[in-house]
Amino acid sequence: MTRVFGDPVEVWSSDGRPVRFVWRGRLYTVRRVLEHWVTTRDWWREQQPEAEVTGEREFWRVEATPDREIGVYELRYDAATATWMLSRVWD
Amino acid sequence: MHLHVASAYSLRYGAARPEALARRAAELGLETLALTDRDGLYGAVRHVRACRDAGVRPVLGADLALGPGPGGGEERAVVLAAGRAGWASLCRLVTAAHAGERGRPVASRELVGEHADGLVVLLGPWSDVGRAVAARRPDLAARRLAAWRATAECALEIVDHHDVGDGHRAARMLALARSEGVPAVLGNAVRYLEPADHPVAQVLDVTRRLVPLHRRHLDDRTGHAYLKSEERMRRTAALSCGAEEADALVAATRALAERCVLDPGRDLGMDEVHLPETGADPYGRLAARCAEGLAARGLDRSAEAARRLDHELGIIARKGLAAYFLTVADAAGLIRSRGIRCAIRGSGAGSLVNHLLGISDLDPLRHDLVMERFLADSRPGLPDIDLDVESARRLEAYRALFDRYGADATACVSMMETYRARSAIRDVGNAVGLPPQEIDAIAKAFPHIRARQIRAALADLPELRQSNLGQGQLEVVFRIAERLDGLPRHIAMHPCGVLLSNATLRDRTPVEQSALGFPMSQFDKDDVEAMGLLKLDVIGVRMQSAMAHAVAEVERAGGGRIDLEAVPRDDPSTFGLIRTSRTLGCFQIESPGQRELIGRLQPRDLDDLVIDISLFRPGPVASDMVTPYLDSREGLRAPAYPHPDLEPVLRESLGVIVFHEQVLRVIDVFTGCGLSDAEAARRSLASEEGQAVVGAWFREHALRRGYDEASVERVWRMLTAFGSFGFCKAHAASFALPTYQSAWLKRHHPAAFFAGVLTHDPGMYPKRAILDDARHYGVPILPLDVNRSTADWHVEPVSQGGAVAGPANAGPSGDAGGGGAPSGAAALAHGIRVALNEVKGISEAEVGRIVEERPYRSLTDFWRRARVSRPIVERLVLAGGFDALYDAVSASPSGSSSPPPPTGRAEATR
Repeated sequence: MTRVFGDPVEVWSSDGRPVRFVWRGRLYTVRRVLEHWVTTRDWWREQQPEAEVTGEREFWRVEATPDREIGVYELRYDAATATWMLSRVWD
Repeated sequence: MHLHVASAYSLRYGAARPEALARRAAELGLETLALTDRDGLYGAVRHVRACRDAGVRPVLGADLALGPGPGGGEERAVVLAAGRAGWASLCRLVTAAHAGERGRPVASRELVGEHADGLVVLLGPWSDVGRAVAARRPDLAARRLAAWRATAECALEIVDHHDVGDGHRAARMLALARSEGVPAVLGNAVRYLEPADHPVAQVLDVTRRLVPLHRRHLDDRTGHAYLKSEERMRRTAALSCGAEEADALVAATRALAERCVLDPGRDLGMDEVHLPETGADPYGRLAARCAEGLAARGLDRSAEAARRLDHELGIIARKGLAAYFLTVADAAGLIRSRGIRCAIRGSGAGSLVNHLLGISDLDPLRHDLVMERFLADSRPGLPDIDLDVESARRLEAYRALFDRYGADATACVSMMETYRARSAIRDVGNAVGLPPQEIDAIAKAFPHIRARQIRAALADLPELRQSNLGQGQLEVVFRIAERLDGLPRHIAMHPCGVLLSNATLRDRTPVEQSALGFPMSQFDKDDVEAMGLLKLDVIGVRMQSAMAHAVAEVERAGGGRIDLEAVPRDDPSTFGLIRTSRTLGCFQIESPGQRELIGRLQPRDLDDLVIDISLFRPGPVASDMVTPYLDSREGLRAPAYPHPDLEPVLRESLGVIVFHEQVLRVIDVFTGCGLSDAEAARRSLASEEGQAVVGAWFREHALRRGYDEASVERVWRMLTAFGSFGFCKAHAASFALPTYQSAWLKRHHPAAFFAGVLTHDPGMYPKRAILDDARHYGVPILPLDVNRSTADWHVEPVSQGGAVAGPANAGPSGDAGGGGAPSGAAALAHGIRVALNEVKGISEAEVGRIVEERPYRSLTDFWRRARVSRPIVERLVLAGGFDALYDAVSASPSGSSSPPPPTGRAEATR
């Protein structure tokens, strides 16, 4: 089943791809990237857009594991704020 | 290595200019760059030139719409041209795609097949193959791919913009290529330079579709359609297809790009000119025709003419332009043979060859015009000849040219309308969903400025500063509107350019229909010049129409046939009229400022008119060159020459530099470089850097020739001061001729002249002012009359004016004016009749019926037979169109002298 979170996570990347992340105090190792996509922000709906409308949201759906059990996790990177978030989990 | 790139010439799709793309490609270290604009080659020539400047090798293609697919949604494929054959196929394919409904280009697989020679088709995610892959139908994808392979050479294009699912689709596309044995290449469907440009592309997406901004309307949802480096392309491919395949794809892409690199000379034919077929030995025939011309113009005994002709023919022979001159002479002759008035304008009047061929009616020797301003060994490219024709018959002249050279060898030139402040604000405002009234108010608050000046204008212009427009959400609108600055918006027909070429024209330029139905090249005037195509500017000039109308009216009224070109050009009474400065309606000299100048200058001959036209320019007026000239002319002070050696050169303008031609001669006198190099030096004066280079060169050579430093400095200052606003004497002279001709008509055939001016409205004055002037010259204005008025203004003998006692209001005013007013019976014998076209809202068909069903006995009779709409009839009544019918009622024959009819008419007519 899918669960939706919005928890901040700490992510280590290598060669542009996430390889490890820490969620709720546990370290997850990325086994495989299932899918990767990006979206631009809906800048036209924002009341006070930043000076330059840049920044995208980058999504990584990965297979990762804290120990032996494998789960699918969706990580979101927001370029405007340079923060990572765990957005969804399938297990 | 990019094979799929749209520039801003993909209208309302691409957001980067070709020049910017080529520069960025060079910065990224790309060796090749394609331009594949949507449904056209509008940017192709710019791309090739930009690539040459940036040191990148160009590839050309087009991203063609293939119509809606079976599942809905438009299908597209990219076609790339390989080699000379590929370029010709591409031009013809784009032309064929535009052959249907105007503005809705669409190709098909069959159409591509018909032009497959030298083309490579890229099938990407937007092709029918890509759609099948996306729908997880590998069987269908394979069948469609097979159909394409039977049509043309194909490659699959792997695109990954990182949208949801893009990566998987890319991998499946690659798998299809591998299983079917078709080459696969990388593409990025580029639309802009860098990621930050994506809002512009998104605005263009919704503007194209006429919808507000919303995620579902966007082609670009990821901001990844930018010009990526090769390494980034490889990384993207590695993510979806694996590192090994990524390397293979990059290599395949590079190989295909290499194969499709086009050589501007060999493949595109940019290194030579492509003139119409003129038969064998064009030079021999040109020389023969010039010899005939010498005899016909009575110059066969002039040693000077012979020397000049030798000189000009020498240049023409060296540049291989004999066929060019024969063609232009042929075109001018053709236009004249249809009875359309045709005059040369611009520097071409400086060439004796043009005069002898009958292209120009001005004798350059008599007016001391030099050839080098027009054509010199130092001038690159084709010379430029502009023809002025009657504005009302311009399209007729076009059709004559199309008939003569064949529809395949002729085309009009296009031009791109670009985004400016108002249009950019409107489009962006609509995209973000502002209310239409607000958009309108905001856009209109801005003056006509460039889009990139929007925010500067907000800060600088007081009326905008107070408007509080620079707040909140509007800030975004303005920021994006500024980035639309100068992007092409829609294509239009250039108002005067016509391409004349041979049967290979359709291999060299893509052609679509103009709004008027003429075949129109997708290239603009700079592009066609770069492509070595002959562009003849055929400019519609209302004054030529006005004069043609006047000449026709004189003949119709029994005054015989006037040949304006044969009229002596030294008629004292014509110059008498000009000197009174009552020159309303005359070409070039009717504005208040000109009339003041004319009054002070008191021209005595055609050369004075040439100087007058040249002096009345913003530059000379602003820098007050006019006063020293006029003072010298009036004898108030002696002409001052910067150096005695320059006296012969500057004598005609009494020490002031007025003409480009004088710049050439001054440079020539001081450096001894010859007129051809002097012309090159003059052209360099336009730019700051050029001035520095030429300045050093000029000083060095002048000093070496023994001129003292002070004089050299003085002369150089004069040259640079003049550099910004000089005028070409040949151009002024070619304008002076119609000026003189119009004044001559005004002096000798005033009624016909005013009829022409009122019909074709060539000048700046409202008709009421022209009518006042006509009265001043004793031309009676005959009121609107349904039984007499025709479509246009025409001349009528006043004795036949019937009920209207024309002469009554003509006599007294004729004497009231200055000495220029013609007196005598000739002027009084004709009046001008108000035209039916002057009635507001009247249609051509109604005018036709009114004239057809004549005469009318009464208003009821008119109502029944002429079948004119009710408001128009009412206006006809109010304007007095029926007064003559009911004359018995209004009784007095002097009715016309109380409020003059045209004044009363003014409210009811236009």
